Amino acid sequence: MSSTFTKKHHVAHHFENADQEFKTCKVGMWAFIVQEVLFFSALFVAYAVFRGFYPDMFEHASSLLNWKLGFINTIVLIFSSYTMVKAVKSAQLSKQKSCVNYLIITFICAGIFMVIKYFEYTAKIHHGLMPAEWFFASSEYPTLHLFFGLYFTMTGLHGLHIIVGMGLIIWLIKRAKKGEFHKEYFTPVEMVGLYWHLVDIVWIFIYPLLYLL
Amino acid sequence: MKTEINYLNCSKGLKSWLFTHDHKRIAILYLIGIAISFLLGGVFAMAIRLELLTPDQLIVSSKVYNQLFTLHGAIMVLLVIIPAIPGIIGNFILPLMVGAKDVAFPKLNLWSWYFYMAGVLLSLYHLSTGAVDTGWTFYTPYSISTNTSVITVVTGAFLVGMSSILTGINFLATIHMMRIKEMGWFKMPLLLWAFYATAVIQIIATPVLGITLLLLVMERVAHIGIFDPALGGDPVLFQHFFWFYSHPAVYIMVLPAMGVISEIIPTFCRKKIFGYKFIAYSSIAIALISFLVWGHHLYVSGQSAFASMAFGLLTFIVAVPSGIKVFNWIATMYKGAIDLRSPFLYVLAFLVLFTIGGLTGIINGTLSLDLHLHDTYFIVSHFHYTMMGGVLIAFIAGLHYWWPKMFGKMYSERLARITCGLLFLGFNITFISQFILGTRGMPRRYHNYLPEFQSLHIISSIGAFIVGLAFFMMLYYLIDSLFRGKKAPNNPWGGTTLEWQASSPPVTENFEQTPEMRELYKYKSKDEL
Amino acid sequence: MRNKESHHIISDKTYMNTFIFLLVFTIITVIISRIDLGILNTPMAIGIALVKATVVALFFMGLKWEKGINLVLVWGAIIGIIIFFGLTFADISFRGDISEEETLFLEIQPEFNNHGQKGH
Repeated sequence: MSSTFTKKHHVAHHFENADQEFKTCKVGMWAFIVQEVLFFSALFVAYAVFRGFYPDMFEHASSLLNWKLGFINTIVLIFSSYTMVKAVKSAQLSKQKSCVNYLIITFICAGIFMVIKYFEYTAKIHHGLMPAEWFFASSEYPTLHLFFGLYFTMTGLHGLHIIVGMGLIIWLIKRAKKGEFHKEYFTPVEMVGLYWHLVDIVWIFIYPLLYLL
Repeated sequence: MKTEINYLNCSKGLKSWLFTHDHKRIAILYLIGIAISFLLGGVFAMAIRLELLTPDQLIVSSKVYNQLFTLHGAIMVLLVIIPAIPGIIGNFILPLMVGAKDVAFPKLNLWSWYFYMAGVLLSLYHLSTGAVDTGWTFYTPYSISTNTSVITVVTGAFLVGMSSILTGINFLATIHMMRIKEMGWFKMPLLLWAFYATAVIQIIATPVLGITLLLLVMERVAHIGIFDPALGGDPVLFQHFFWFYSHPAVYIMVLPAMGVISEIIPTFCRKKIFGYKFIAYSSIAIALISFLVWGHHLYVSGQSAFASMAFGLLTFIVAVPSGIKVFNWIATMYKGAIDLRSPFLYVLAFLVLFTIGGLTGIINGTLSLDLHLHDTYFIVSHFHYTMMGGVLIAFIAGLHYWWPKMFGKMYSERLARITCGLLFLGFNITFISQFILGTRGMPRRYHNYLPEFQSLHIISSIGAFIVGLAFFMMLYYLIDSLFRGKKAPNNPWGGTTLEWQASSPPVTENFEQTPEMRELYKYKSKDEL
Repeated sequence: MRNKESHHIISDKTYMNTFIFLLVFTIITVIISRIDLGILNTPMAIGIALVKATVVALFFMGLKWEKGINLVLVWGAIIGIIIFFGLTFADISFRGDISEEETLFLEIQPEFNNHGQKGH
């Protein structure tokens, strides 16, 4: 049952109509996503280069990561992508309550992801499996710190993007509760949704490359 | 007499400027930031040329000399040449040219300026904590080990990169979605094609600079090791990452410059541009091919012979669309009714200087020749001909062309002409000597040099001081015009693009009446004006 | 008033199927990684990741129903990445490869043979 409380959206003065505003925002968002993709891409190039230089070290290093925790995180993130699209669709259909609820679930999933990340990180720090500045594990592989330099940089940057996403979702929840999203205007929900799916996609590559191979 | 309300006087006070959403005010804010940066970068240039008057130390130690050329390069490239035309001319003119009230995302536009100024301020600040001495290219492993403030300045560069990305997103969306109904893709001014192509590069290339700088910070803080040979890393990988952005970056610089030229030439020749579609398509072609050539900066870095060959061949291809544009511009001038006022004089200077820059680019791109020329003054001169003789001169041409629109005032035409001549003369004296120095083996970034090179260095420095003088003259007559300049008409040059239908200066909402789409190159004769 | 044509609303069924597809393929990629397929493990893992990412992009992000510039932007990113990888590996994979001419040169001047360092 949708709420009858909705806040009318005022189209920004420099746009001719709501349709132009929506489509322009979508173009801007896709352009932003493209630059995010290129931002992460260099990390994957570095990964490929060093995997090529030190294949045995990489295979050994990935066995030191907890693939089960990574698996849970992957499922959690995929589920959060699902709840995010449900939140967008709820807004498109003016279903205010279910929009808020799906956003809350998405937020919780992101929180679970970060908690698991916290446990993974503390374990690595405890064992000294770190970049060279803080590395103290004993290993037959003298370049093991390279793997962990990449591991922390890639997952750390990804985690930062999750945190930013969590902030954006809270912002959406606040606005959704005020009835700002409905079938005439759901742009912010859809745009944050696009961002969230990108964060999911980056993890879809990180998980097998770092944890499984 | 009642003063008309326009975007400059509609509201007063610092806050109304620092928190503005008006693209025109943001353009002026960029103008101030870029002018300050240019002054700083210029001071460092004068210091360098002063030091190089003698083969041994004259005024600074080697360490300080390294800092001087690093800062001159970093400031000029990142804080002046890359942001100038999009930030100032793009921000002011683009919405007017499409017939819109503002860019697609005005608040984001303000944030672009904030990020830019944060970069400027961090760069200024870091001068006090240990100015970097790595060269503006920050090559590893030295940039990892040097005890200068690399992290501060690299953070500034990261923020300036974000500014550029957001501007690219804004311009792409504006051109794509906010043109007036009658302005189809092939009816839009060529400056818009130029900004569109530039936006593609800004969006795709700049983030790679961002991640590279972030990784450099990670190297210094955590010693992740990927760029450090002592830790099992590869310093050439840094160069790949750096130049993946920095080569397309030179097209972020030059595409808007070419757009400006494509606007001024038809107006000052009162003639339709020759080969509109070729110029439009070549802008897109330059943007695409620019991504394929970065390895020509790595010819002598230990890159594989195969990669060097591949990049060499691809580099030859990227020059073709630029050449097409130069031919089209010249063809436009043929049998035109030429108006030799100052904007066009700067355009003529561009045509000569950019062509020299482009041709010497081909020389450098030739693998067998670059083995000898790399890291000599020949390279230095090449990129000054393109970035300064090309982009900066085009920016100046555009600034003069749209100055009456932006400020409602006319500057002194006499002083502008003298300055243009002085600048052209000084520039060539400075840099022809450097081409010769390069072919004779003078290495770049060297504080001390062999005595046989001194006479050419002295000539080059004299040229540099003339250039400095010319810029001070320009600063004088432009600022003077704001106070004592004649009031500018709406359309002082007889242009046919939409911005000339707005008042000079425009009102905040840009157009008092909805602009009327007219035929792009239908010029009135000089008598009709 | 927004008209339906300007924005396509994706069906619940599509969303659910996509979600299940992603779950299944995540499980598959983990299972495959536990089996030693030698040189095939890497391309299989990357291949499955690519399929999953494509499915997220098409159905969760709505690319299947997008037209025009948004698609061009995505293709731009894809091609940009391919170029980045491709030309970087044009260097990395062929480092130290010596051509016929260089081999000839090394035969004539053997003191250059120690990785090009004379006298070492």
